[in-house]
Amino acid sequence: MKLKIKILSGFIILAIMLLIAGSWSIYKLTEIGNTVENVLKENYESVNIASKMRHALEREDSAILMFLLGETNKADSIFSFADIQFMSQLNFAKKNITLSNEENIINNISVAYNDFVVSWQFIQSSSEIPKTNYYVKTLHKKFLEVTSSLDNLSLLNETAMYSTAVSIKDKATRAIVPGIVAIISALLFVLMFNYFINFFVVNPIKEFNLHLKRFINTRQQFDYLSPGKDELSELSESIRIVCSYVPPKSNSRL
Amino acid sequence: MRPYIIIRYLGFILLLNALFLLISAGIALFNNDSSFFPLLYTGIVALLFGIYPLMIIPTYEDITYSEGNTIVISGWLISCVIGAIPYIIWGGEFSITNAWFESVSGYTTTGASILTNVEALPKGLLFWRASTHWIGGIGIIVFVLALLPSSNYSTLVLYRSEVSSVAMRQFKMRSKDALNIIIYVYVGLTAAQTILLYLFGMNLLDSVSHSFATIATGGFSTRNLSIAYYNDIWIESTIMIFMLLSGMNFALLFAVVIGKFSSVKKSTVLKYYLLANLAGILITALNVHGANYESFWDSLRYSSFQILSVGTSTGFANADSSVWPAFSQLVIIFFTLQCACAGSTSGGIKTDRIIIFYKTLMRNIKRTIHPNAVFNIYIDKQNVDETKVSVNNIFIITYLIIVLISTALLTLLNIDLLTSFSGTIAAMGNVGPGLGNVGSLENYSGLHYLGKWILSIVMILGRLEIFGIVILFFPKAWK
Repeated sequence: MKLKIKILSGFIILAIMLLIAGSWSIYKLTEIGNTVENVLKENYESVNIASKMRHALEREDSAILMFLLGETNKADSIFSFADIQFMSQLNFAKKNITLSNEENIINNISVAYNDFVVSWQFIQSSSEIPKTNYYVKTLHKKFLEVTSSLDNLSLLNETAMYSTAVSIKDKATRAIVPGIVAIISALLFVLMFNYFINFFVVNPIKEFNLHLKRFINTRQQFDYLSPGKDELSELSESIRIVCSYVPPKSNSRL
Repeated sequence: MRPYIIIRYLGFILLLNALFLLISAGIALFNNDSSFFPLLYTGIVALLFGIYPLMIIPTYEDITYSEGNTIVISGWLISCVIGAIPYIIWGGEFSITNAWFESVSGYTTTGASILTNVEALPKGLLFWRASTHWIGGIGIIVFVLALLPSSNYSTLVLYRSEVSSVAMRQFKMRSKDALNIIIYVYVGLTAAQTILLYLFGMNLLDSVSHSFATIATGGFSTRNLSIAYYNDIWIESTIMIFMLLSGMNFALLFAVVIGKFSSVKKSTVLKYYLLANLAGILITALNVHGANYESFWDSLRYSSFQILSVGTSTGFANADSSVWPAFSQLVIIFFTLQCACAGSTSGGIKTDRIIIFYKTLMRNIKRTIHPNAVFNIYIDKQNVDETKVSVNNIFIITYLIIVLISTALLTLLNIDLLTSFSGTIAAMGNVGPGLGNVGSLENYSGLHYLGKWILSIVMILGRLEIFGIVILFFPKAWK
């Protein structure tokens, strides 16, 4: 094989190794980026929605307490405003279903909240029942059912976020390892390449030079053989032929 | 020593590994599993590292014995390193220590695993895991030499460096012919077992993987419960027959195939191997009958599988032998130390050495009675050279000393004595399962990471039959 091909193929192999490892790392890092984006878009958004719904629900609970204290008009306006907020977040949540059990939980929230609102309307319209007693025994229980369903929604998304984070950690490791392997492989390959260049190029040139000098000084036969079958071996063969035509030292001007 | 010659042959070894890595990557691609890139990437790295020295370094046929020995040992080590890379990249249960342990265990055909859930591995990686057994089974260099059109001299040097010295007694032919016989028997047995397992209901991947593991006397299964998962008498019987065959000298098996039964009939080693296993099975069956199994049939079924499994250094399991009575465990320990015949894929001290050791013992008793008499040791009516007798006995002593040192080191890591001792002899004999916490249905995941490194060194020492690797530590071997 020619020297040019030997050297060029070494560089090409090194480049291929680095290219594959680099491409894989880029692919994996992009994948990690996409996963992070999905976590933020899907799971974190659901957690945020649950938190807003809970906030709205607590405002409604405060409105009910104001109603029990006789502030009926103020209570009604606060409840109506909070209800709009709750329903708008619930609609967001229905459009952001990303996990397998999430739809069931959102349906549970919807049903529980509907019961809670019906009970609120009942306490508002009925004048015969003991309102405080009804709140403690019925309405507050409905409130707790809604909060419990909201907690389930948060928990589901937080768990998904945690497991995604764990898988991201694993993916990051998988992205790093080929890089490390590529670095070690490249270092080893460079050492091997350097050894080959020394053995098949540098050392033969040195030996070649040594033999040639010896021939010039002593006319000792030029008998150098290059270890490979390349340009150096062709050159040594040509020099050997040339040397064979050179007359002994006494008759030569060399 | 000429490093470039060693690098050239390592190139062939890397190409062989690359071939199996790329086949495994193909299986991963076909099944669309997560091990595709780890296998492909490692395959390409092995291919590039393997092909470049072959492009640059011209062929040299005059290999010295120290170069041959270095090629064999570095070939094993480099294969173990390459074999660990797909595991590390894939992740899961594979830390660097675990991946190295699994890879060494695969190539040395030990079959000891760190995986708590084998079934979680993707198909490509399961095939690669089984392939490491198959590559290592007959010896990486033997595999390469069989595929290479190299000269008789270099083949002879490398063949002698790789194949156990006690095994050569049976191969009375040119090294290239001996290699061909080994390959024919190896591939033939693997193909036959794969077909039978497939016919008995295993899927193709499981059939191939279990055949690779059986013929290489490895023991990696694709199931968490090993062969117990199938609970099928036909599958167990098939594996038992092929374990028994894989534990025999391949030259004898080849003689049977070509109809030369005379060498089989007069083989002392083979007779001893078969009788020892038969005796082991019967006394274990009698011992576990009543204690672990109600019917004698069940006792015979489980004891025969377990005894053949350790007695051939395979390491498959169809029962949990760590709950068997102490006497049965002692029988298992004996077979874990002894294993099967030289010239097979089995590990351990080997039956050939046990016979020579026994005959040396008997000769010494005779010498005590007749101090002036000359007694030679004969096997199959052939005189065994005194140097070989001496090397044989030194090997057994060194083997036991290594077992002792490794056991001591493991106990220093607060591992109980039974686990340390049985784990060490199982690693040294390339058997796989031991007793205690590393029993037949357990794994090595719970061991301290230093313990895993110790056992992986012991596995390599056992596979390379100690002396080859010890020689490398003497500077004179490098000249």
